[in-house]
Amino acid sequence: MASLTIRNLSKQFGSTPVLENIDLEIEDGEFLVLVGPSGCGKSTLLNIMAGLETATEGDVLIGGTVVNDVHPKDRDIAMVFQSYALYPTMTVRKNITFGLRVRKMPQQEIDQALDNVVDLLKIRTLLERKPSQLSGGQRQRVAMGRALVRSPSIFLFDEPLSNLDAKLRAEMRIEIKRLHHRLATTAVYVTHDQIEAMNLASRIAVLESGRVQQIGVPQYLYDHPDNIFVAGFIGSPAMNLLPGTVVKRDGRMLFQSDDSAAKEIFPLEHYKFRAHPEEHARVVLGIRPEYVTLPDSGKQHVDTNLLVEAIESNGFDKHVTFRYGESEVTGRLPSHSDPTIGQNMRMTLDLSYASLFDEQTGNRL
Amino acid sequence: MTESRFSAAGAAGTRMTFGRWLLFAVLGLFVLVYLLPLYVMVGTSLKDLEEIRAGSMLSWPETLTLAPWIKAWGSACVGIQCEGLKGYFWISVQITVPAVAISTLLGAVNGYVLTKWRFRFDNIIFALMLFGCFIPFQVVLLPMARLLGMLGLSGTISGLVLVHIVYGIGFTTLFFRNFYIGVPNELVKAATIDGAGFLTIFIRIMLPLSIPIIVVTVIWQFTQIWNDFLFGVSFSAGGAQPITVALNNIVNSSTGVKEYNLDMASAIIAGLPTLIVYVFAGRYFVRGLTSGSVKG
Repeated sequence: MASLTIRNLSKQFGSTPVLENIDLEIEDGEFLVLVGPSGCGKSTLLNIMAGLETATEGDVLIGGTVVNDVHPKDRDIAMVFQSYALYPTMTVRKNITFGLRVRKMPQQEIDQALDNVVDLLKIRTLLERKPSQLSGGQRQRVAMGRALVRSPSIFLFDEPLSNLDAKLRAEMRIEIKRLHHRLATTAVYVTHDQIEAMNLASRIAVLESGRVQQIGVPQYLYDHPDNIFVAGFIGSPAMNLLPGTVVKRDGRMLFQSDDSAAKEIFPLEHYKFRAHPEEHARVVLGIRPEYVTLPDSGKQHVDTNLLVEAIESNGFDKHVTFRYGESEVTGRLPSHSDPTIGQNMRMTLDLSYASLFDEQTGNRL
Repeated sequence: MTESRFSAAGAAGTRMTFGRWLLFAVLGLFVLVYLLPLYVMVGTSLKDLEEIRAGSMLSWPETLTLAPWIKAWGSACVGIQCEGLKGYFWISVQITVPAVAISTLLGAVNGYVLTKWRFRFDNIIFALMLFGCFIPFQVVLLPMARLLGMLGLSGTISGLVLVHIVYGIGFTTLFFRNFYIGVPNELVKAATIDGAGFLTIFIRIMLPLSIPIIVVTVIWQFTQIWNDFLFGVSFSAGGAQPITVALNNIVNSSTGVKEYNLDMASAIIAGLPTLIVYVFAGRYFVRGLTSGSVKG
């Protein structure tokens, strides 16, 4: 087990910057998820950690030692790939033990190590099969086995569940979580799926355009996104973002929305500002769908009439899209509520966990 | 694949229209046209000279004789020597086997490097090799003769092996490169992390999954090299000539009576190895040409 540090790391392909000034501190035993849209550089960063690609600038440290020039095989890491990357001509047994055999480990120790992971992953019956004879979920398990068998000090996962169907993905997610809890090995996990990130991570790092946008524990990212990008990326359905202006009335800070015909006024006195905006500053108010609720008697809310435009039900709750001036607002309503398309509904916009962003910079205020 | 073929035939079988009958009739005719030369060759090679002179070309021999075959193999006159094709057959084997093996191996290594160990300007290198495939044989004859002379390999079997390897690399590289481009790079990454180096990955991961393309390449190279006449006649001398050159000499050097049965038997002997290779490896050939990527 070891910590992993990325220090002031940049990467360019030709003249195109892929990663810019990345700093990450991953503690021993932590499960860090790198999440971001495709092309944000997260896989490149993972490959650099593995030593499969080199950084243009900056350092990678494992257990406090700079490993920039250490070959991947000597970094004491293991990696699980999106395509599983199982060796197609080898049996499951050979696949899992390949790394050990290449390293000329004594046969007895190989058998012992194989035995352990086979039981851990419940794949004993698959040992003599070829990868082509396995289902997606089984391949995934074998790929995990190949990583686990060497007892590395760091696991690197490159979108390992992307090729599985939804049900299997949920199962494997729990499996991975259980394994991590049991082994407590440092892990870095790349995904574009923010739900996967929220579920697995002890901390999440959100990447966009080669930069870390925010890093923190999942709940904090969810409640206090640092900027509009993180606010929109984390959470499904996405956070409602309403443009407007900051106004002051009787010394009270208020948010006035552009969109509503009524030019709704939202009180901001309970909002914890990081930086106080000027009066008439252009801002964006972010409200998560679960805070767009049926009328309630919270103290920081605004009641308003909203026109129902679309309803999506998943049995567990209903995602209702309302018209709100020029914008749309999504609300997460109980499954047994009864919205009707084309009708106005009395709704509450609860500001308890609202976020306020500078419209220009996109940063949290 | 076989199942789908059967079902397709079954579906078609239920409605044999006039158009389909016509189609099959035309195809059948093509088959006859295609097989006719082979029939004439085999038939003629089993006749004695009397019958050839008397009978029609298309009739099946009245009395079968193996004498032309025995003569072609053991005692036909190739130029001034009358020892048959057997020596030349062996020389062709000596040329073809190492040339096929080495050019295939080099093609595999090239394809591996060009797809999995990319380097600066690798695409230009590949384009140049590809260009090599399109240079007509005749163009390289003179420079190649000079080169072989400088290397002291003129008129030797080794010289011909070298020529065929050099000329084959373009094709073999093309085959392997296009095959390996479909092999996921993640396999190499996984093996690298597992601790395997350049050669270990090549030998233990890449080569075992290359069987289809190896078969394709071997068949292609074997056919090219075994059937080659131009390089053989240009760069070999005396008794060290490949069988294609010897065949030509048998057919062209017979004085007096034209021994058609001997010519036919010799031609079949010269062509038999490639025929056998196709018969035994043909289905891998088609499979290898059509199989693109490797699904892990």
